[in-house]
Amino acid sequence: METWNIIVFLILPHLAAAGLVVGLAYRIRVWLRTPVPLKIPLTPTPETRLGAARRLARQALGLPNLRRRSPLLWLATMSFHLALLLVLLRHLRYFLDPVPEWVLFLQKPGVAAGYVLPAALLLLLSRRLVSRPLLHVSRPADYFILALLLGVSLSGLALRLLFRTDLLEVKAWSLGLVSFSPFLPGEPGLFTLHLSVVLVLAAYFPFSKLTHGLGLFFSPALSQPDDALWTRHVNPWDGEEEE
Amino acid sequence: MNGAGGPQPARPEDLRTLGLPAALVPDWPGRFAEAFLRLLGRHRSLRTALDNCVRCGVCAGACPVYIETGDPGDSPAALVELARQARWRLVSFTGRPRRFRGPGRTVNDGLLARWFHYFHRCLLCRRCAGACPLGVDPAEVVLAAREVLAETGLGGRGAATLAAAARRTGNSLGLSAEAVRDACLDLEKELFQSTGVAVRAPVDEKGCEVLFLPPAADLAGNRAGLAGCALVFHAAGVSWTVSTRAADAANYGWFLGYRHLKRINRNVFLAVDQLRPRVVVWGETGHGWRVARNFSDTLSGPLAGMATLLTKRPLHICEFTEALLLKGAFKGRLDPAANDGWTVTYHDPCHAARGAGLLDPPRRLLRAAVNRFVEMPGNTIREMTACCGAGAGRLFESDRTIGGNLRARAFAASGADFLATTCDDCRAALPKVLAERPDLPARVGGVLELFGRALRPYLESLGLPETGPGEADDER
Repeated sequence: METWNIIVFLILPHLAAAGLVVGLAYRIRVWLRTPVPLKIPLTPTPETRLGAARRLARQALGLPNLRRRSPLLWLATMSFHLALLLVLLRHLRYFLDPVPEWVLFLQKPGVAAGYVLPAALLLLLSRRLVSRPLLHVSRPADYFILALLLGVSLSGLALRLLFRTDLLEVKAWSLGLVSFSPFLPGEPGLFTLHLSVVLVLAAYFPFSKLTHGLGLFFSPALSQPDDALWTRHVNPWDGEEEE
Repeated sequence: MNGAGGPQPARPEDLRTLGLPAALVPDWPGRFAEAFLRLLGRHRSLRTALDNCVRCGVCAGACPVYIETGDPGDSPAALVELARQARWRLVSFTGRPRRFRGPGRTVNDGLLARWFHYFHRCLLCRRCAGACPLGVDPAEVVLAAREVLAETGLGGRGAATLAAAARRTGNSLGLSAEAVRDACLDLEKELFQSTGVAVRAPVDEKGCEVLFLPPAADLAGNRAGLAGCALVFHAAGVSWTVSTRAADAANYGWFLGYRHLKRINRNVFLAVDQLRPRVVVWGETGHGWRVARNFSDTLSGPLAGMATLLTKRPLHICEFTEALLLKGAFKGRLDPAANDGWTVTYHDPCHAARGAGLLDPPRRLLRAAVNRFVEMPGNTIREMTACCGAGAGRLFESDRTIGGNLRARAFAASGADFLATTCDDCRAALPKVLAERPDLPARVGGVLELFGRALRPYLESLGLPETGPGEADDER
């Protein structure tokens, strides 16, 4: 049991965190190193780099075209991502000592977001199950990810509502993780499940579609300015296969 | 999957002209893997599309093909997934080619057949890309897939037919230099008979102000569009010429791969080199204009490298005519009453509008040349435009058009009876699409056709000295 606890609570978290960072860095490197042969702006596209960057930021933060096209999905995805952000920020209280004022301030909204999270996930899941074209393109990975996220959020809620764990011990453990001074919680109970699902999610993250939040910034159609008429664009592999 | 509207394979002689295998090569899985992995390493747009798509399905609601067929395999998300399936079979999750290809890890006949069918049904209109919240451009996936298919010997008929003709003759309809000259002579005769004025349509004249690249279709069949352009040049007093080396504004090589795109773009530069014009003006074309405006400089360098050129910037005939209009070149010469027989609406060609931002110039021309102009519903115009059903050479790919219904419905809702557009493929496809709706009596024509018709009363008055120039109002 002791060995098992050491693996789950001390070794795997460090491995998963390292995997997450290295994996994401690798993905970004691949995107950056893949050439962009042609200018492919999509009307309406700003003509300057600054304008294009602003558009990209607006898109990433507010998904304006989705709000027009599919208000229901927009609501579901915005509430999911915002709730996730609040919940993650609330969790900072377990990794910072003393807890900063603003994290304490986010405590109540963070707890409320904990209830929004599974609701939004269920909305996303049911949408996937009722729409014919969506059901057709859905892969096992899509359901797997939704299941993982539901698992994390529901086990988190259960820890809060049903099977409370010793938060002082948990905090001693999490502080120990980030300061590399190992501490094992005595009786973690359901917290073991919560942590395990988080670890699977973190390890899987860089190899899945979940990187879309980063990949979006590398999409040529979304990030290029519409300046082909006055800016020379060079295709780095042009001429490699002349006849 | 092989019902009506199934794409047909290209003719072997066309593929040979293009230097592509004329039939499925015996070791196609190897060729397929090599081509697909090469493109994955060369196109960030392809890679981010496969990586970013979360299969939210919003694109399906934007896709004119899916809306019409209801086949879930036609949805853009399904196309991205189809490409991702092949990648999953060829590449491990770290991005390295798989060495061990167990069951379910090979690209087999079934997957190849699905690739050929679905990737050749897409119209490349990019309406889905505009809807995607994550910047996925499914058209980039389809273009790459078509290039892979062409490399394995499964080029699509539409693009291959047209691109091979452009390689042989400089235009996608395969018109000989003689046929181009005849067409222009015929046009001069027609215009003299109808207006009484010697409107010229010169061919291969050196040192003109404008080298004009008409869509080849304007030279081959219905010459109303080219007549409009000739009248514009004449009324504005601009010298112009057509080239027999590049008697085309289109570039179907794009739909077969970068190498073919580049090769056909070179035709324009050969013509510029020979004729030394001051500016190059592209005729009424959709995808050809996107190639000219966004790709040409990357493919072949700036036009200004040619000594006599005034601007390195390519111009679309609508932009060019709009500039003349704003300068007052047609003041007192436009009579919109000449078009009073119709209520006109404007169909945005996908690549011109969504791909190259050509939204307002054609509308300004129409408002100046037409009294009754109306718009179609807002979600089918400008950057939200709905494809005519002939995108990506689709008109020549299959026995019928698919994907034009959305446009037909929008047209019916507009109450117009003349559908003007500024793309030759749209102009060829829209009558077929509208023919399926006999309740819609409609004519399809070019923007310049209508603009030219509004110039006719002025030109006719030149032939008859007793009536003064028309007092038409060309202000908007």
